Amino acid sequence: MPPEELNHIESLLNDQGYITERKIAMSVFLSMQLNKPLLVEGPAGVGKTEIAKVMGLALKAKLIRLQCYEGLDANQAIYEWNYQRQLLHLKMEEGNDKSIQEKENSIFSDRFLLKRPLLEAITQQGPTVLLIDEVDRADEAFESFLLEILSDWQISIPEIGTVKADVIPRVVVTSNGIRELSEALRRRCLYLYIDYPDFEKEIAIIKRKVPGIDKKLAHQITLFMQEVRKMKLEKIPGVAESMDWARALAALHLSSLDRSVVEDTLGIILKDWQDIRITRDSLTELFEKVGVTSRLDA
Amino acid sequence: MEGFISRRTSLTENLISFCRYLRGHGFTVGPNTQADALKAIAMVKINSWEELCTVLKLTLPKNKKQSDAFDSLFYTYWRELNQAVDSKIKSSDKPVQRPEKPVGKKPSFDALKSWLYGNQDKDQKEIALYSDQVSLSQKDFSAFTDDELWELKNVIKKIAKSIVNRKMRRFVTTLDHKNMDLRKIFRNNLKRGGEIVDLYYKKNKETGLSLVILCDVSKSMELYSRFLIQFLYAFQHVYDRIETFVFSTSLYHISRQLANKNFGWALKDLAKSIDNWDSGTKIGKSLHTFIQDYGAYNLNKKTIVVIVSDGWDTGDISLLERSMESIYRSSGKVVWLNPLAGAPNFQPGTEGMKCALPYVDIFAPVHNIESLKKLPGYLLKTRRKRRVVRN
Repeated sequence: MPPEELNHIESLLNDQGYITERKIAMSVFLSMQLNKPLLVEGPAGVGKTEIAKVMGLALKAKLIRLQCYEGLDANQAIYEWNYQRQLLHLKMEEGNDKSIQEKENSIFSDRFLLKRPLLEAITQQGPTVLLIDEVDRADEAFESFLLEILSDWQISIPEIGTVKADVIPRVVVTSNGIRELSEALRRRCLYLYIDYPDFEKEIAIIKRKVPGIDKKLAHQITLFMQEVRKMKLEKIPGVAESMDWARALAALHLSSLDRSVVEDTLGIILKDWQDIRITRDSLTELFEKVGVTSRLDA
Repeated sequence: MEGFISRRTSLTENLISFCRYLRGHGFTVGPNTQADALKAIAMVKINSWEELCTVLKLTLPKNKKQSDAFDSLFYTYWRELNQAVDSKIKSSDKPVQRPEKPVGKKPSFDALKSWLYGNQDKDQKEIALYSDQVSLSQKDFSAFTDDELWELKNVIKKIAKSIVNRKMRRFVTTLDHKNMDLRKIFRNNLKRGGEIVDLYYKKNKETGLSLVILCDVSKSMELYSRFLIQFLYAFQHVYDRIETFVFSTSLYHISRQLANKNFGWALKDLAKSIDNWDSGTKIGKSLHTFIQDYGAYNLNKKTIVVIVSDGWDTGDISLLERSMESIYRSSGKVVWLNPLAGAPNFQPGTEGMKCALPYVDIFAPVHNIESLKKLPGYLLKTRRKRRVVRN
């Protein structure tokens, strides 16, 4: 494998519109070099999933996504035999005088194997990025399935044998911290924690994603969001919400924040009615911090 | 940085002793991880301390706590190492004295714990003051807006979520076309002469665990009750098969009040409907009322009964014993959580506690977050032997 340069990775990520920190570029680079999965943790809406998507685009690799959920099991994550088709096949072969061995071989072949995301990622011939999203939603048993795949890059199917990866996929595992992940899984990964972005990074993201936005408005939105995150809310808004808000306000052709507009559009950044109420109550205070009150009062 | 590069031959050694230093601070750094760190350093052109720190930070810590603590440990270590080199101490000597204690919790947790511990001290002073008078004063909940409580709520939510939705290994038939129940397909199609006509599907059975929580809110428990109400509230909201009761001199069924989506309203509702908050305790009488009025509907072999109380009883002790026996026999498991049991020299010495103990499957402390985190473990294990959990 040719050694990709760290700076190259950084510019690739940047080209795809991902405002990156040195830390994130470095972790992507190292996980590629060491062939280790990258475990990304952090609050919702800070661009954890985006890393994998951008990696896929930048490396021109196929992105295979496994969205985890409660009750996800091996059948839905790794592979499953297509029972219905197997039964039909046997039915059709009934008149045939094939031996049992032949019949067995025919129904336990690739044709009857339903590849779920993990097996699909392992059997890809080209470069692949495998995104295992929100792994903490799945239960502990599922983590154990992952261990074999993530360290040896192989899957054992009793009827066929062991399937080993020809091209090792780049793996990104994300977690929201709903449940503590096992030590065994952590040990196999590189660990990256992404927090809410600081002011400079967030304003850069907004300017990049909403190109037509007024400079002053972008500045105020960012300041406002930074302050809102310091409040005790049920659901703290992430960068995704900032971007939505910036897009909405830009579409209204505003050049600065305005109390009534903020009140009307709070629903874009806050998704809980109690949060909205709390924020509405302390709006004056927030504006003071952001620095728009004086103009409004005047 | 020149000095750093010229001492490059010893970098591996330095790094390994740094890993040891980290282990002393509660990190789990295995040989594999060390090897990764060394490889990573070889791959990245390192120009500054910051970059070395970033590279190591990506490879050595494995969770957020470690990641947060890493920066300061890194700089402390290398600064002290440099001082050691400057003062011509042999490099084979241990460069840094390892501190005795592993690194502490996150500061926010410290605050939380000190708040809970703070309560405990006060509580022990107040135990002697418990009264058997019914105080008719309404509980003032205005003090509930603490930052700590907000954080506590999030912790409890997490714990409660880990208890719900457990799937069992057994299967039940379903119409959901996900997993074919081959055994049943073959079995039932035998009557059609082996033709496969009818298809059957199966899914994992979900735990039929139902919970009954009985919480003591009498005077002697006063300092815990605001924390306990939070706990009950959070629990009620993530788990649907749960019935919550509070008792002091009599029993109140509060599931309906707690089901309110707004915590503030739930509290107001509670304060209105309970008039002898913070008074004396009649555990026996309350439990007896529970069995008589609610037992038939709520108790079966799949029910876990959680009693939260310090065991101070001013009522009829023999009634308590009889009620406990009855609950023990008709439930799947009885868990008694005692906030006082967290004290190192705690003995279940109160009369009430002594006579209830034989009918309790698990007796455990619940006085801080750590002890609360063990709760899912108690609830999910099946009844075996009586267990007393000590700190």
